[in-house]
Amino acid sequence: MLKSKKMDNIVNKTITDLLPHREPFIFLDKVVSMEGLNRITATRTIKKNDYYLKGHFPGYPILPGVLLVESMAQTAGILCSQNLSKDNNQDIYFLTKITDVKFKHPVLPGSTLLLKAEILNVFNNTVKTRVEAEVNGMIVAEGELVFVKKEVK
Amino acid sequence: MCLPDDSELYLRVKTMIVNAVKLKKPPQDIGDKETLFGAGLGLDSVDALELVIAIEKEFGLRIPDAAVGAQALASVESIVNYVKEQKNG
Repeated sequence: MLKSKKMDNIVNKTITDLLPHREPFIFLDKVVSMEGLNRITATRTIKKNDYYLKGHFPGYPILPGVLLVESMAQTAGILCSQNLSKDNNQDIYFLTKITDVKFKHPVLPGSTLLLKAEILNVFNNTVKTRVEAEVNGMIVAEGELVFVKKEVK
Repeated sequence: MCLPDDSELYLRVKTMIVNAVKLKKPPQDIGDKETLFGAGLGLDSVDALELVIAIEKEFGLRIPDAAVGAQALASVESIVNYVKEQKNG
């Protein structure tokens, strides 16, 4: 009962209610679903006028891989927070390890990323997650990200 | 002095550690009593999670919480003792 309430709540919340990040460093639009407390799906649309596309690359704009990782990390960060943190606290999940990340296809302006994260292991304040990004049903990036919880008082 | 089967277990644990945290030293160079975290081998909290995963995979044993982990993951010897206790207990 509590779990499903938490899941309903999260889908209705804005990203700034779910993440400690603020502009210009928010790389998610919306959480679209949560399965239990171990899987989450979020979205982000790459707009043609997103500022970094001007320089990456002039005449051939594609989403920088590091920002794709950041979108996956923010998705996983929300999942960690929902899974490990108590309601209303201000914990920050620091990205501490990136492994086996592959960029399989370029992501072009106008694309909508479907970002999926799953918790693989938790020990103490450290969480290992599996992440994936899709565009139109095709996996464009995948990997594993590890986070450490930092309690902010 | 280790029993023959113990020395095999020690080497298995050392090899597991090297692979789990991608240490750049051969397993034989890790001391049995060398501290794994901090001043010893220099592992950190992210490595602790990798060791917990590796122990589960290698020996089928869970480290249930941080308190058990702090004792069990202190050194190669403590991991060997944890494995022996859990397997025999």
